[in-house]
Amino acid sequence: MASDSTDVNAKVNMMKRIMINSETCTGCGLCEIMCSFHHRKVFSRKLASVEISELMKDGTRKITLHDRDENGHLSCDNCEGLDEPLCVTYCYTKAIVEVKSHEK
Amino acid sequence: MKNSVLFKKILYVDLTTQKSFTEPSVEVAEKFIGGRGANSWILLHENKTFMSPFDPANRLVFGTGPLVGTPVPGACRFNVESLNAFTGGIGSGNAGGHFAPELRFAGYDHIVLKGRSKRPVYLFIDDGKIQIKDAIHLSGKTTWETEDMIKDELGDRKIQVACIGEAGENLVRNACIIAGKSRAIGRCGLGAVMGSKNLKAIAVRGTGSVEVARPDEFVVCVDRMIEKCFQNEGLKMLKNYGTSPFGRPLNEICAFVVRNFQDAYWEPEKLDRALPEDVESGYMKYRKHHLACFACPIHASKYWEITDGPYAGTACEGFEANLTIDFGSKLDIDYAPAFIKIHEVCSKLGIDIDNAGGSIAWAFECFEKGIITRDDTDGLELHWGDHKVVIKLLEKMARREGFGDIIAEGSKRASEIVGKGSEKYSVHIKGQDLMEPMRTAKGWALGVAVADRGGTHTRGAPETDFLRFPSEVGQKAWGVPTTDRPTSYEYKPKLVVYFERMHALSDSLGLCNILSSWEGPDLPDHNDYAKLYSLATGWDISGDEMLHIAERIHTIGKLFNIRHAHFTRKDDYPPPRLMEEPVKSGPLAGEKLEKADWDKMLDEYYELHGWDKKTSYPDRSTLKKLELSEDLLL
Repeated sequence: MASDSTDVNAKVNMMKRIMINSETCTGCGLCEIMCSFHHRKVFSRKLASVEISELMKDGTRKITLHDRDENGHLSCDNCEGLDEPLCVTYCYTKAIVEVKSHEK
Repeated sequence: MKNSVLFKKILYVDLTTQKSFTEPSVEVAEKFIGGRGANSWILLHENKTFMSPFDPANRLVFGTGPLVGTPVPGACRFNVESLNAFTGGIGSGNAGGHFAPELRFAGYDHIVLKGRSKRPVYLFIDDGKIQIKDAIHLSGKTTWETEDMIKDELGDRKIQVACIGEAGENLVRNACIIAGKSRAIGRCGLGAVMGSKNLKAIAVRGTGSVEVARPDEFVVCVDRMIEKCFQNEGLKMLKNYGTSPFGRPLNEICAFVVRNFQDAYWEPEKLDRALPEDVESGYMKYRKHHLACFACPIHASKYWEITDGPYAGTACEGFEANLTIDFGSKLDIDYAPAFIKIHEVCSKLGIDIDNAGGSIAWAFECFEKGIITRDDTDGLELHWGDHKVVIKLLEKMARREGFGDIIAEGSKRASEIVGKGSEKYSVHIKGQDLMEPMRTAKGWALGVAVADRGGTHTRGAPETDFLRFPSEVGQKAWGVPTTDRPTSYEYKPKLVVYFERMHALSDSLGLCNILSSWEGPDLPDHNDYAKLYSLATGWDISGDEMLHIAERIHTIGKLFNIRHAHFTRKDDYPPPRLMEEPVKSGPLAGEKLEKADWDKMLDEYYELHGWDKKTSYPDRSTLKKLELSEDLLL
């Protein structure tokens, strides 16, 4: 099931390395294409485990994290083995940040 | 023929027969990269000299660059090329946002449109599936309504839309194409060309991938580019404020456009009201969010929401530096919320701000001089500083109502309709209204005047004339010691030719020129582009080879203008007003463009390109060097 910024509950934090603050998302999409790069060495929004919504009427976007394979999006694997998840590395506005104390 | 995983397809669509087919784009890419380069080459080949801009046979060519879809900073741009509705030569526009990557993810680099649909239609590209859909119900709708209605009826909010508003439908020459509600393919009347084809919109949904030849090395190279962007001081300002406050320092060197080019120095009290020195104290209070184009870590775009005053409730993305001249000093409007409102109005109606600002400024000056009166303007009083009347004029222009029908043509044609000496107040280059200040910054002026699309700063005009890099920095980066002296004519042609090539590369690769060495030698330059392009294509291309391709691309625009508009040396001069009337006030009062100095610059500029000094045409030996046929001169 997908979790979004309004659904960042304790359970998700325990499982995932990342936390989402959609309010600061600029919609650049770097998290998405670097996520697909991590999975498949290609750049794609569709294959990514993070998904950014269209620009909404109030000027914001919403970030969704897929924690299972759905609609073409691949499940987030926590970028296991990397020092930091790539979506965090390539988010320069702290819309996606790492939760240091996550449990694997 | 070389091959590469990087390239996608060219989609050809005939709107008359409603048939389409595709071809691989790699063959054109090998010589022209993509974006503007490949678009211009396709246009040069497909268009015949007897065609006019609104002929069904005139091609309208969309093109992304091959780096679009990758994380290269600013790899988000697309270009549109067609016959220019003002000049008859090449029409060209470039926009960012999210439309271009969607097209690449759908599997296309270019769309070549010809013909004219009998009924209003829109094109829906759904990955490999091409549909031409009825658009009768979208007629007369704003670009915002059009985008929302298309997304709703197709049931996918992730569709990207490039469309025209009422202005394009009504063949207003000042019309542009709007993507994502605020990104404009501006100038050259390309919105009207789209309207002439009865094509209301292009909607794209792409769920595929973009691949590069050497992915791991490519991403390491991308990281270095992002680091360069973060180190640059100018881009740090952009992150916070966007481009809108950037005009302010230009006033110090009398590089504003005041009351339709009557002066080049804006009264300080007006400047302070419009663009306060303490940026945070003014209209920045309306900045609600930072937004980014695709793959851009700089997020220079802002989302604005006006919360008080007569324009309370206005909310939109966009509003860039151009507007503070086009609808600021040029019309003597010093009320910043009006800029945001006017930006929203132009975006919705699909009106190009640079061209419309020029036409309206001409009308204001004609009114001031008594050449036109309320009898000509449908009862409207056109007085400097009146933003409310500007909004009325924009609406009349988009609908071609009354006096709006005349200014819809641009100031050159409008002045020929009105006559009575109004021609004197039309400030245009090659027939298109001029946006740029030109009197004091000489290299910038040269770049603007010789630009193939009819006056623009986004070809060779060096930003160094405004940013004033120290002499030693200019010498080291470009072999030019005059980068700190805007009023100097020395060495400027060399800079112009270099930046013409840089822009040819960024426009063809699909990169943003703000994130390039145009804004400073510490930012990505042609050598960086060569590294990225080599790793992405798997081809081994040096920086010098990139410049060689860039010169070839730049030459296509020149050849198109010779063939279709018969432009020669005489068309590469500034508007007479800027050579005759000096700056009236400010620190550089008295400054103007001098004919003798201009001639010297032009000679040097043509020589650097290998073009004939008398005609301005490329020499046959130059074409041969660029592997272009001599027949292209016919």
